[in-house]
Amino acid sequence: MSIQLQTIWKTLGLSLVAMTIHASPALALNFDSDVPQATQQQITQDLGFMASVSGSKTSKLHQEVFGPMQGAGYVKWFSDRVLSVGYTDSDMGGAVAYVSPFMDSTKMVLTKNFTSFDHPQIARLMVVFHEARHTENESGNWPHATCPTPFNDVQGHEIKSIWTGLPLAGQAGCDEKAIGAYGSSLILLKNISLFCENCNEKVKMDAQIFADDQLNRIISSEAHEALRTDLNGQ
Amino acid sequence: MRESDQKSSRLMAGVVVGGLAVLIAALMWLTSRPTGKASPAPAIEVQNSVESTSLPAAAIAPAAGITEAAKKMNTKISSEDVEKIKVLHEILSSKNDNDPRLDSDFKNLSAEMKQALAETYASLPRESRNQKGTVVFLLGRSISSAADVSFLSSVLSEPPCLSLENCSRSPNGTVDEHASMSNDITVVYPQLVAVKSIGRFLNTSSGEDAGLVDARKAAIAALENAVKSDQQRISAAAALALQNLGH
Repeated sequence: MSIQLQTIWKTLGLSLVAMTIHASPALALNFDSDVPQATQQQITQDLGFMASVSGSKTSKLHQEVFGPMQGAGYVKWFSDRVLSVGYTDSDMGGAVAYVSPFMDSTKMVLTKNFTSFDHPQIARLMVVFHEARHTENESGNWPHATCPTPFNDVQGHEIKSIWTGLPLAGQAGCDEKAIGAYGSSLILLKNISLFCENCNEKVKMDAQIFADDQLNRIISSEAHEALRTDLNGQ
Repeated sequence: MRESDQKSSRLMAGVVVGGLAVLIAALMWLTSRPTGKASPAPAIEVQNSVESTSLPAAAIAPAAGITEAAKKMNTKISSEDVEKIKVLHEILSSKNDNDPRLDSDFKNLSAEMKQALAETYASLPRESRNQKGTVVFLLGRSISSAADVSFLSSVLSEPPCLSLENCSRSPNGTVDEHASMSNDITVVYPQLVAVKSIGRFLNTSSGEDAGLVDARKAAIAALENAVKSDQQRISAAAALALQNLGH
């Protein structure tokens, strides 16, 4: 009986938090009419989580790209860049979201995979913040670099596609800048893992897992070092 | 408005606010008081007729089916733990990973609850990578015996999940390595969580704790086996974990 009441009480509390988040006008996304309701709800919930993130400390690069660790700042950062959200039921090579700078640099397209694949929430957010970086025309949309040949991880193993088994060497899936699309999402996640004060332990661990992988995609030694210094200096 | 009307309006508002405060305080008192041992939660006797791996797929849905699924588990768990399993399914299906109940309700797990969670893991479809990884996280956070490590080892030795759409076959069509950047990790997410959990256990537990000697030995062996995995990311993560431990 008691645990049921506790559950009701907690659910009420969570509902109030959710209502507060969803009531935030800053979260109003401009969806195309064909975006399924489930997809709209999912990205709204994901950004609702970002709107709630809070921490009293950040790394220097986080400060440079996103400012302080405040949910409202993240939502503004995102909504300043992504002015509309479209949808495709195509698989798009396994993507969950993408931006086509030469078609419409302010539109983010979500694919059916956004809801059909069971990604951790932090993974979906990593992708949409990565893609949001590609909307920035003034920075040339932060184009990717070709991964070098050979392309090895820190243990010296060749990095391969888990899907095709082929090496990533020679593919446009890397960055030379510390604060490009891969780097900025890495900075975001690493700061969440280190400094978020209202994230649970799973979210912080997820942020660390996905951030660590992104570091492999940074191929310039200067950018790699800048990121390591930024994050290890905390 | 006359002064007397204003006074009575203020009085009414005060009564309403006060009443609400009393109601909330009463609800908080009711829900926060300890349950005590006077009325122990009845355990559910479970029939041994269903293999854990064949629990109904409905077990992933946050509905009445949960309790039924829990009843069919091979483990005897208290009604409180049945409620917790139900809460877990609610959280999993909500896709809100930052639910604070993952921290508040799922620590200091009993052996029975651990077994129930392991059965929950087995009942989830292989493609439910985040859901499965979340269960691994909960169990990996509560390692206290070699048996706990054994569960994580079994997760690490699972056959590869070939695609998020269908673990038993490779993805159809062309794969865009940039666009599918998170897929590479999510597909091995339960295994990466297992490696992280074992690494954290070894980092935070004492090698001089006699009660954990077997668990620590099993944990190191699990990482050493994972290094030999054909799946590169699992192998690399395990190697890194061992390296961080000075091995």
